[in-house]
Amino acid sequence: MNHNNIKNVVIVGGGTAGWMVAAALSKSLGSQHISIRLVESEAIGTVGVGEATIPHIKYFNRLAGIDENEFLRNTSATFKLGIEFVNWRNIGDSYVHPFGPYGIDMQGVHFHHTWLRQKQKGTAKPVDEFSLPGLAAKAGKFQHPRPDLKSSPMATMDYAYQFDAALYGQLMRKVAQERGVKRTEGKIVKVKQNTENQNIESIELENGALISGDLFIDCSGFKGLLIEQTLKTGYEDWSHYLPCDRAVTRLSERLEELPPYTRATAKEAGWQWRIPLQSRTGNGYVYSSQFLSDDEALASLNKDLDTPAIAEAKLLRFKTGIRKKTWNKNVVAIGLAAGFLEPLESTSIHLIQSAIARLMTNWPDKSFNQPDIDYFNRKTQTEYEQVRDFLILHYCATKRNDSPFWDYCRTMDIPKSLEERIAIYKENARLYREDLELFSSVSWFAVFNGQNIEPKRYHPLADILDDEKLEIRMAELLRATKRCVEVMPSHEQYLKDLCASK
Amino acid sequence: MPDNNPKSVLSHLRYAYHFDATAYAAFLRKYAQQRGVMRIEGKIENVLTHQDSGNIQSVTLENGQSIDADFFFDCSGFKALLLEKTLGVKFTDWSHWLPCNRAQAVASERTEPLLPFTISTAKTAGWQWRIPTQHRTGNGHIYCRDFMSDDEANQILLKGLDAKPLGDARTIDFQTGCREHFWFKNCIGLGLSSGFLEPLESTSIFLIQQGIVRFISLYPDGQLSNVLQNEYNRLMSREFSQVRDFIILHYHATQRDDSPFWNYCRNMSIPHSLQHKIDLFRAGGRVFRDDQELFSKPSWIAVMLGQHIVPEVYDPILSDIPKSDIQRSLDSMNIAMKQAVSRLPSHAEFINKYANGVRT
Repeated sequence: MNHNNIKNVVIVGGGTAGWMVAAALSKSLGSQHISIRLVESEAIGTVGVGEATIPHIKYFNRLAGIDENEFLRNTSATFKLGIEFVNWRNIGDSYVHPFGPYGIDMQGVHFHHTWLRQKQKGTAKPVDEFSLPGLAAKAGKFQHPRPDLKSSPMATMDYAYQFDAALYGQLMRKVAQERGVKRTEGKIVKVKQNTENQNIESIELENGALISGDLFIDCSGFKGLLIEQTLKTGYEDWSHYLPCDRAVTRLSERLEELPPYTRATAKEAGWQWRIPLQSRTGNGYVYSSQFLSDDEALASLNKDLDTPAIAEAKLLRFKTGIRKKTWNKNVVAIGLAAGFLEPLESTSIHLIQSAIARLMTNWPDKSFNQPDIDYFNRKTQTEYEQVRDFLILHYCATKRNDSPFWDYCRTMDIPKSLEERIAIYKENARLYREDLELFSSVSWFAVFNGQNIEPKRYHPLADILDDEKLEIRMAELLRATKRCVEVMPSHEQYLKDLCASK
Repeated sequence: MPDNNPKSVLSHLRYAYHFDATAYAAFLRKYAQQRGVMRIEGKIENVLTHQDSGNIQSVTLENGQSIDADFFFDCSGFKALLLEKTLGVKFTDWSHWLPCNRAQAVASERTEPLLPFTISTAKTAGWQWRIPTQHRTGNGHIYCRDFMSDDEANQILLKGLDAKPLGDARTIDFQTGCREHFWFKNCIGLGLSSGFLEPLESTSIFLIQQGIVRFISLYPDGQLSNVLQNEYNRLMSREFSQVRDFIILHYHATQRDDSPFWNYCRNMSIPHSLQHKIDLFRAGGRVFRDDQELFSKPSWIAVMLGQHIVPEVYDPILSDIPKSDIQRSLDSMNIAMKQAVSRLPSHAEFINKYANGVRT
C-alpha cells in the first residue's frame, strides 16, 4: 500500500533509553510489518541515572503493559511522594516538593493565595502541613491514592517510584523481546551514510556484520554516536546556567525504614542525592569541577552516606545542555544522546518517555517530512528549556553565601523566561503553566515558596472570605490532612505486603 | 444537550449560541448594576492625564462632571477614546492579510426551520453571514471596498436574504488589526478598541472574555507593575495572532479565481506561523494546537479539509491496520452518529420546550 513506510528501525544503545524505546515501539507498532532491532555492546557500560522518577512514569508503564506489582518486585522499587530539598535556601532549611496539590482551591483562586493571606496575617502554619504527600513522605507512610474519596486529600495525591535503573532496563528488554524486538550484540565501528542526502544507511559492527535501517534511534548516551559523531549536529551548552559538570556516585546499604521520597541536599559545590530502594540506597554528589576537586567530592560523598557503602564509587562527567537538533536526517536522539539535565527533579526518564511519545505522534515515513521534524525539534527544545528553568530556580533563588559556588549561583545571569516568571510571582503570586509544560503551578509554588521568594501580595479574590471563616476552613484542612496521614500504613509495611501478594 | 455518559456519542457534542448582542448587553447591564456597578450617563469631553506618569487621571463629561479612577477600561469601540486618542497607542494593520474593510448589516424576518448553525457564504469580494435567532435573522455582507462598490455590495446583501428585510442596511467601516499594546499605562482596551478581526469564526466576544479573564488573573495593585502589563500584552497579542491565522486560512486556501478579490487572497503571502501549520497538515495530516490556542484540532481539520487541503499521506502508524478494519470502525462511528441525530428533537422544538424567548 504505502511503499514509503518505515520497515526497519535500528536502536543504537541498550541503556535505559534504548530499551524503553524498544518496549514502547514494539508495543505500539507491532512486529508484523516492521522490524525493530537494538544494537548494544556489553563492553560499553550504561550510566543508569534516573533512578528516581516523577508521576508520569505510571503512564509509560501502562503503555508498555507492565503490571505494577511485577514492576515493583523486579526493579527493587519503592514509592515516591516527592523530593525533600535540604539546605537549599540556607543551611538548616528544608522543604518538600510534593506530588499533589496543597490544600484545596477556594473562592476561585489557587490555594496558595489563601495561604499567603494567612501568612501575611501571621496565623499560617507551614505550607508543607497542607500537603498530604509531603506529610506522609516525612512520616514514612504510603498508600495508593483514593480517587473515589471525592473531597479527601487522598483523592488528589499522586506518586512516582524510585527504582534500580539497570533492572528497569532489563524489564523493558524482556517486554521488547517478547514482542519481537531483535537484539544484536556488538560494537559499532563504522557508519555508512547516503552520499546524496547524508541519511544513515547502515552501521557496521566489529565482526563485520552490516545492519541497515530506515530510521535510527540514537540511544548511545553522552557520546551521541550517530547524532554527533556521524552527523555533527552540535550541542547547545547550558553550563553557565547549571555549572555542575560531574557526579560521583556510590551505592550504600538499604535504609532500615524505607522513606517514600528522594532527598536532595545542597552542599558546598553542588548537591547530594539519596534514593532509597528495597535492596540498597543510591547516592551521588553532583558538583562543579570548577569549584571542587574529584577527591574532595568523593570524601564529602562518603562522609554524608547514611548507611555503609557497598560498592566502589563511580565518576561521571557531563555537560548540561541539549543537542542542537534532537532529530536530524533519519536519526532521532533519545536519552543522554539528546541532552543532559541534572537529576535534581528526577526528569531524566521522563524526558525519554516524552521523546518517545513525540516520536510516535510524528512517526515519519521514508520521505522524512521536514515540517514534522522541525516541529519535533521545536517541542523538544521547549521541553528541555522549561525543565532547565525549573532547575535553575533552585540554584539562583538561594540565600547561601558560604562558598564561591553559591556566590556564583546567586548572582549569575538567568534566562529571560525564568526572570519573567520570578518577577510575576514576586509581584502578585501568580503562577502559570506554559503550554503543556511538565511542571504544574503547584510544583512552581513549592519551589518558589521553598526557596523563600516572597510575593508582594496575593490575589484580592482570596480576601472574600471573612477572617473567622478563613481560620476555620484552614484549620479544617490541616485536621483532615493530618487524619489521612494517621490512617495510612507505613511505606515499609505497605510495600512488603504488596510485593508479597501475587 | 450533551450527554454526560462518556460512552454516548452525544457526550462529544459542544455548542454555543446565536443571540441578540444588544439584548445581551442590556442583560449584563442589569446583572452588573444589581451587584453595585454605577452607571453614569454622559459624553466624555476631555481626558486628563498625570503629568509625570502619563497615566489617565480623570475623564470629564459634557456637563462638567469629572470622574477620577485608578484604572480605566476603554470599551469605546473603534475610536479607542482612551487608548488611542489620549494615550496614543498605535494600531498594527493586518489588512494585507485580511483585506475586507466594510460591512453592511440588516436583519430579516425569522424563517423556518430555525437552524442551529451560522451560514457564511463567500461572495465576489467578501462573504455574507446569516445568524438565526429566535426573533429574527441577522445578516451582513463583509467586503473589501477596494474591490467592490457600496451599491453593488448592498445588492448582493439583499439578494442573499431568504426573508423580508426589517429596515435599511447599516454600514460599518473597519480595519483589521490590533493595538500595539492592549494594556498601556493604567488603561486596558477591551472589544473593538483593542483590535478587530472579522466575525468569520465568531470570535469577537471570545476575545473580550479572554481580556477580562486575564486581567482578573493578573490583577494589579496601585503600582501597576510593568511585569503584569507585559504579560497581559504578550498573552493577548498571541491570542489575536492565533485567531488571525485561522481566519486567513479560509481566504488563502481557496481555489476560486472568479474575481480579483479571490485572486489576491489566493496569491497573497501569509504569516509564517500559518504556513507552517498548512505544511504540517499537507504533508502528513498532522495538526497541533499551539500554546493554549483557541481553536482545537477538530477546528483546524474542519477548515483545512473543508478548503481542500488534502494531506499527501495519512499517519504511517495506521498503515499496519487492514483497510477493512479501518472502514469498519469509520462506518460504525458514522452509524452511531446518524442514529443519535435521528433521535434528537428539532432545534425549534428544543428551544420551545427549554427556553422560549419569543413573546407572543
